[in-house]
Amino acid sequence: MPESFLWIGLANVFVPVNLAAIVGGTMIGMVIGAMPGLSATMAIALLLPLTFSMEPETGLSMLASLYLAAMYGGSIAAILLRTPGTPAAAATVLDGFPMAQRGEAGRALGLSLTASLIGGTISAIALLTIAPILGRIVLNFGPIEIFAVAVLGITIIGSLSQGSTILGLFAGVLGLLIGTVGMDPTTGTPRFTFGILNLFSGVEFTVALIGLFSVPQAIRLMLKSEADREGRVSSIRDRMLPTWPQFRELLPNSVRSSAIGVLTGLIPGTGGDTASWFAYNEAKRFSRNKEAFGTGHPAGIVAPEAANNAVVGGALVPTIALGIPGSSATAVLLGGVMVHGILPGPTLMTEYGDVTYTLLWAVLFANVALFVVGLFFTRACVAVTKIPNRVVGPVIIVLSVVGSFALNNSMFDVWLMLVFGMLGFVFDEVGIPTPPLVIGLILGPVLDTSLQQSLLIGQGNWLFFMQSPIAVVLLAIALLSILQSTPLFPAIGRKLRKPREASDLGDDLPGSRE
Amino acid sequence: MGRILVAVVAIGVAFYMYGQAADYPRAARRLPQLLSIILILLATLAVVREVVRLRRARLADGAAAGPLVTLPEPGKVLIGVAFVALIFVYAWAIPVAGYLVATPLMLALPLIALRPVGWRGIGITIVAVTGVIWLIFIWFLNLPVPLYPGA
Amino acid sequence: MRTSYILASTAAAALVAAISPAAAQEVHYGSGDSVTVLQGFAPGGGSDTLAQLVQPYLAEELGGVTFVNQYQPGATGAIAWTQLAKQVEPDGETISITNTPMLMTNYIMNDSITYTIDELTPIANVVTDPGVAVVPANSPFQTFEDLMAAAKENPGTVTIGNSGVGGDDFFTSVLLEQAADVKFQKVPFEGDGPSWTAAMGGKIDASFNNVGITYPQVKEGNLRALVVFAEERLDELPDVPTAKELGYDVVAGSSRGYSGPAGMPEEARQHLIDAFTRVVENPEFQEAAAAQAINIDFIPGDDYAAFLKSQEEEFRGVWETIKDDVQAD
Repeated sequence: MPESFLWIGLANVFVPVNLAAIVGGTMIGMVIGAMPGLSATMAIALLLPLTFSMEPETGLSMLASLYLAAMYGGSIAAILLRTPGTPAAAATVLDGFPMAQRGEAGRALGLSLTASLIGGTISAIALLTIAPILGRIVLNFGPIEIFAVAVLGITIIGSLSQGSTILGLFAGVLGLLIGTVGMDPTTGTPRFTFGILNLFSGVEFTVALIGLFSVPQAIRLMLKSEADREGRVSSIRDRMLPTWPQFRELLPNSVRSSAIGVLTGLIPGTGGDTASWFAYNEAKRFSRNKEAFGTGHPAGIVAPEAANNAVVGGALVPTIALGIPGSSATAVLLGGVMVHGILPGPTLMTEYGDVTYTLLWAVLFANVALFVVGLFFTRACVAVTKIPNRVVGPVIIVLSVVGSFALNNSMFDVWLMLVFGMLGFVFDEVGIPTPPLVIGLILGPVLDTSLQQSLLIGQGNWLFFMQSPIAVVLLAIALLSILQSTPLFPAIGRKLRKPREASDLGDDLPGSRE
Repeated sequence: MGRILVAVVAIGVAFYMYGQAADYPRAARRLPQLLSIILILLATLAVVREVVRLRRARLADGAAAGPLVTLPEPGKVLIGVAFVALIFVYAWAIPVAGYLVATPLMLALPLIALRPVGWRGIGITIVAVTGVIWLIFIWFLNLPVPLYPGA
Repeated sequence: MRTSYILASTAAAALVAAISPAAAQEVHYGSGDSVTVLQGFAPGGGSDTLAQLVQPYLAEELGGVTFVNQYQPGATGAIAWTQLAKQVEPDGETISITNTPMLMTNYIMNDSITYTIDELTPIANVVTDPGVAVVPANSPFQTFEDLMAAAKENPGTVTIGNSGVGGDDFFTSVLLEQAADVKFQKVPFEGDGPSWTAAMGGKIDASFNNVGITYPQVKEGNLRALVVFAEERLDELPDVPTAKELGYDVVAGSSRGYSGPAGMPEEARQHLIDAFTRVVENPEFQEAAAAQAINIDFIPGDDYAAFLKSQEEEFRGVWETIKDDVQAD
């Protein structure tokens, strides 16, 4: 039965109206993703009413391609303006912006586009082939396992703190602490809210993110006199797509990051925002050229971008196999399914197989559409780098203010964003890294909720965490990463690796230091 | 020096949060209190390291160590402060004067003061940016941003 | 209790239908008017589903009114409802979707939340999703009695998931604890979805949830429904007993309706109630609701106000008794 659905779905995708929906969704998604404050989730939610009048498979194809394209769109502003368009693109800032500053904006966007294509395609294939099997994995992730994932995520902080580990951990713990603001999940106690209702649900980390990255960047642009803008001007002829040998070198990193993306997408409660940091961290861990990360290293762009597009397929797996949304965006997508009278749940694969498989194929073809549309759109975007600094600065501010308002239709968020903007500026000035703060903000609430739930389920016994094999493995990996960032561990590693290093430059791309 | 200041402020905040959390039920205060303590420890460590570093730098330079804080050029400080002030005024002005008034002003003031582009460029920037953002956020997404004064 | 409301509401509806032609001629809402619907939750949630289902029909009944959904998520709806109660002009141009029990439990449980239902004009309840207890398919608990026996034998060890402190499922488990004199280990999740997912994965013993949300999994055999917290057995789950049948007087569920700010013009309110009445009687609408497993529970006007009031009283009482336990040190 599923085989026939597979082919019905494929045939459906090629119906002109569905192809048009895919291309249209891709274009809208890219623009919305590029706007700070407008996330993929919101894009889907806002376009949902538009799809009501369409056939279910047309509407869903459009929404899925929109989701995918928004993931790539987020990287455009991250690379060009140091303002991540979506939270999932925050990690892309680390290497994407320095590369653009070097005058290689086109190359950075090309890398991002290629990585997005690889990540999206791998996840679409995973979705088409092994969705029912993978779907079952999700059920193994209860509070205990999610707690372990959060702990593992926190260990990333160590490797993200360029320069000083102490300052990185400081920023990370500060982020976690800010992450505990809001109503406590088990007792309903409002914590650190000062009676402000807007803080009851916690600090929306997208608000923090926009402030932390974009406001300091806008101020910096204003302070730079026009004389030092030579670095920002990209030649439009700058080659966008990587050459074949470059592509081959990117491949292992892309595949690894895509796998991370698919798996992170599967786990309920974690999405593109987490996956991109995980992938960045692993790319750095596997690289023999760790120092290059953060300076405009291609692998540092490819990893998060492959991962955040791979999340789309991963998050759709439990959504489709079980009716459990793997991310907030897929939760909204499920709403779109229900409007057509299709109940989310196991029947998606059986009773409504034709609609579902059309959606799955649409995800695959949306990647191709994204690549083609992206090539044209991105060329136009590179022109942004020719605009003088002091014009870009105020524009970033307007975008950030309107974008942070758009999140919850609330002026409070605008002020909160500006507070984080000031914090980010101070941190940048004194040399304290901000990315760990972002990770802390993302993982703080996850950590808090899952810890409290685990302790309730385990009757307050902390050793309870040792009863889940998945949690034990994840926590062991976390422990290893912590040990790795202490002085002892790399010393041993270096000794073992030294003889090879002379002959082998590692997975650094040729020409990345030109 | 700046790092020490940030760390000290953070220690203060952490102490405050620790104290606030003391009133919460056990489940609610567990993580915040643990994190406050870790933050205080890390901030203290950061201060110690910074002091040691500054000391070492001064010893290396001998008595002729430079000032602890190097001030940027006064012109830049002025631009920076004015711009930050403008950002806050802009956020304040949106609900008061409306998006369609506040935004062109937000764009016009720094552009006219610093003149990074010619008059035509300024005009095009203001119209294009205000228009495109209006198109996407307000016309297309129906965002309830006040548009005019008193709206 | 619920039945009486439904009876009363049908009676009221019939009455309204009989006298409405005259009232309906005097159009308050009409083509070109725009009504803002404040939503206290993010797009894609239960409130949004209701809005997307009801509003197209309602717009038609009101002669082509445009509904604009304004999402103001945060503080389990309290931001939107505070705005509705305190800031919105009571001209009938802004209404909100109001969820029970969150609408009341918000301010019962938190002193910082200051609105009350007295500052609102209840218009009509539209849906109620009855509560249900579900266990994984391979659970040792075959019947609800098994579950209760285990809870009695080892107090505080049977883990029961709910959708969050202050939500309907949380209060259902408390009401049951009080009715049967047992103690569960209540585990709050961030919404109904994570709660039943955890039950399906065997991470918790049972999840107190809602029928409309868990029905697909129950139908597919991934979850087993032990009991429904409804007045009568439900059509879609005919073999599942009600708690009342088993001797526990617990009826609970999650209801959603519409309310406006206090001082809203009576005429506008009546116009909306009439339109709602015609919508819920529309077979096309009923079909669309059934397709989404949405359980219509129409309680118009004053009955809705009385319903909210009685719920407020009940939850205030429950919260007073368990407050110290929940926020225990």
